[in-house]
Amino acid sequence: MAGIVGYGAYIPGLRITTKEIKTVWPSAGNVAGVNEKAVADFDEDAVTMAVAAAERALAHAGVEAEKVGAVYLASASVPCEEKSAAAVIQAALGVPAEALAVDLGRTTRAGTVALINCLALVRTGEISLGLVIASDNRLARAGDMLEQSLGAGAVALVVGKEKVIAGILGSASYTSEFTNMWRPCGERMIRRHDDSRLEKECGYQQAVVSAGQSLMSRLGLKGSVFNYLTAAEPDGRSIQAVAKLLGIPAEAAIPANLAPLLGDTGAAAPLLGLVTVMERGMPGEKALVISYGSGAGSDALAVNLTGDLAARKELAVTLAEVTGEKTYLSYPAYAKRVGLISVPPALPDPVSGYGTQPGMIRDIEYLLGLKALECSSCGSLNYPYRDYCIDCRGQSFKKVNLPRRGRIVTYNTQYVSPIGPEEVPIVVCTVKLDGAGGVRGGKVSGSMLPVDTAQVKIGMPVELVFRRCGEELGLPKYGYKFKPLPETAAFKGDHNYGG
Amino acid sequence: MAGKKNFKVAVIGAGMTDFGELFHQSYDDMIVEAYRNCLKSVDKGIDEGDIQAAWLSTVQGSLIRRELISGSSLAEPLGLLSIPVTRIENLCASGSDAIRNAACAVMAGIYETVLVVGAEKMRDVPSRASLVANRGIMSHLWWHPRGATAPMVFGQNGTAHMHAYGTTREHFAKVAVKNHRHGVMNPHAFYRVEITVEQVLRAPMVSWPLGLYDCCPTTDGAAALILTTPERARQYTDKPVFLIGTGLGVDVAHSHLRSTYTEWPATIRAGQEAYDMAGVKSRDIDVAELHDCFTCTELITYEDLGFCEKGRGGMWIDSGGPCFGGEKPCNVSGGLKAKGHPVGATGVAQACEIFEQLRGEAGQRQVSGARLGLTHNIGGAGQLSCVNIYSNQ
Repeated sequence: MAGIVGYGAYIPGLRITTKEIKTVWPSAGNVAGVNEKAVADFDEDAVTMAVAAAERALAHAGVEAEKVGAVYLASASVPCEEKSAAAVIQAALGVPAEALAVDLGRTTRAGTVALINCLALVRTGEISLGLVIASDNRLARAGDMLEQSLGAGAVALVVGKEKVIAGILGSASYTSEFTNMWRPCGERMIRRHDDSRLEKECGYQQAVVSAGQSLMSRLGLKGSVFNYLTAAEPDGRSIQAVAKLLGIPAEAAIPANLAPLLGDTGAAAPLLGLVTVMERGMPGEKALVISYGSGAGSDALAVNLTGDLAARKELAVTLAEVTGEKTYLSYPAYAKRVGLISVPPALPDPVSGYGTQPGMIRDIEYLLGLKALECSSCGSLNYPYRDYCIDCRGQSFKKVNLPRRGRIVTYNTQYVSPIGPEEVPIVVCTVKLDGAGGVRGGKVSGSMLPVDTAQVKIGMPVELVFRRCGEELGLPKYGYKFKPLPETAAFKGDHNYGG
Repeated sequence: MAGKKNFKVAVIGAGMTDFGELFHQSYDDMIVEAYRNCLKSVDKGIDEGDIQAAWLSTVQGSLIRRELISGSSLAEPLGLLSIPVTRIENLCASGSDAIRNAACAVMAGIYETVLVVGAEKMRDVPSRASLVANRGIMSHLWWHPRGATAPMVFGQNGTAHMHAYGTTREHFAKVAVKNHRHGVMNPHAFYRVEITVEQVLRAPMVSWPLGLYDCCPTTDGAAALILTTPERARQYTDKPVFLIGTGLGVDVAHSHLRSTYTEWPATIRAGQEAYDMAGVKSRDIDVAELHDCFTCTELITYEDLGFCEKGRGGMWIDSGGPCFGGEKPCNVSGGLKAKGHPVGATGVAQACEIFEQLRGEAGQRQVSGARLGLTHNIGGAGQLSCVNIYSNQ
């Protein structure tokens, strides 16, 4: 029988208590039965948690990554809307590139969907071993009640046919469009209708109980035969209500009731519950596993613990060990980690305005004020400022205004350019300024205003005009561009084009 | 052929990687491959312990997010941790300048046998994010708010040369056609396909008068040379090649301060220094590797190095002068245009080509009877130029 051959879990070490959250948001309402929740650190997300859980699961199963034929990632909170998360997990685990990598998401129901899919591949013999990972790190808006419950966590199950510790007796589904929680594309935080009782009765309970009843009647089992119930946990108490509605003994819902200390771990929740069952269960015992996703529905799986379970217990990293070390966060420390407070970069913005800020102090006079230094020895107009004349190495200068008009010495037309926002083509020219001395000096270069490029010629008269020249880091840069000038308005003096 | 300054340093080994988009090779991998190919080329073998010092040429470590390229960047991947290693960065002329510096150290008698490696990893970023996005020195301030790109600063000379001498875009195109034809013969070249003048003229415009096929490609690559004294050289090979003249010319960095737009004074100065040191004239050169970052650069360089008269570059290419089988074949390797231009490696790879040519080992692209070879390597907007002259005697 196809089933689970190994398991592993990962829960971040950071916690925030409901009490701490309520010091900031005293009127946010209460999520029943949640005392604290797990929080991902700056360097953790659904992918890193998935890898950590999967490594433990492979070690527990005694399976080498090279043998895995499919990797399933179930998550409603992957980092990219387009870009496989399963692929990076596969690479990190060392699972061969030939393996199938599946990303399932959009709903917290995805964990059981992945398990049902992977089981099917194993049963048909398409693959001999598969890896099912459910990992979630969902975020709530500040002050929303869900802030108390949405927790971070991951679980991984190795699925195979040999040395099975938990066989799957069957599964059933109940798909429901009833939607109380959702997250539109492009948003990071979950939205919800503010009617938690409607959600509990018409959303969660309707789907979870229907899927469970459907499975039990298909398998001809009564609720009383189940030693364990593990289910999605939107809060810390709902699982007890489900047990009652399905006729499952109340004590069966106790081991998998993880929400009080972890919060709602989304897609991971029902499978994390199954891990607790496998940790404490005895061969021959049965568990009912039921997922839920708002606007999605539920899947139920019936699990039969088998004889290999006992021998493998010692190899597992227990959930108690996984959750052993905890660090409690203040609300501000939590807020930074979930992006409620933007964290400034470690270093200041590298450049601003005109190159560097000190450069701005040194250069602004000639840059924007268009001053130049005229050499006292040879008359060359030096721009930008310098200490040795570019033409004669003279060291004595007079500060003068840069002539605003001149003629093109040479130019070219840019069709590919690194920065905007102006549209190409743009003519870039070197210009000899009217009446300015020098062979090297007396010239400036820069862009032209948009012109008919066919009309640009060497020798054409132009004029400097003050324009906005792009921006850096949101700060506008100002400077000068060349505007074509009618020949009639142009300087008629001698020009040395240097050519 | 001893020059008047008696400059003579032997090249006993030369090796390089293929140039191209080496997505599967890291910066370190390329250095190792070029170094091993160089060792293999030493006919009688060499004990690596003979290498007493090394120079590394790399221009933009920042392209691979490695701001701190240093001597260690060569020492670590090669495990050469007991010798001094200097990193040279002199824009695109870095490779030739690294050879020049290493040769000067050998000439000074400080070291006998030294290693020169040039390496550049450019295609770890999209080609539009490497040199096109390099806003360069002139982007400071308002002069070029959209960034000064390489084709822009070189294209300014193309326009001026067309205006002054009637040179045409067809003339420039012929340089690209020639170098692609040469590249077909070079197994290390990135482009090994012929193109036509028509194709060059019809290609998308980059920076008029330069179209896409007037521009060299953005490539990865590395190259290595081993230099030693003429006396020691015979221990390693019966066919050493000698560096007999070297020159480095410098000009302004701001293009608006140039004295002329129809020539590169830095090249003229470097060529003069190298010719004088080698005691040869431009007409004596049998084969040359020129810095054809853009087609107009190579064409103007014919004139700057005295391969043809001033203003006659267009006519010289029309006559087939720089073509394989012509009067003075230029860029038989395919040049930067077809072989590729991993900037810090380019000058060293030019020397690899001349090493093979002067030893008669260049296969189907061998220039028959080549005895004197020249490499020319421009940096920046023509503000640096390094010319090295090699002889097989």
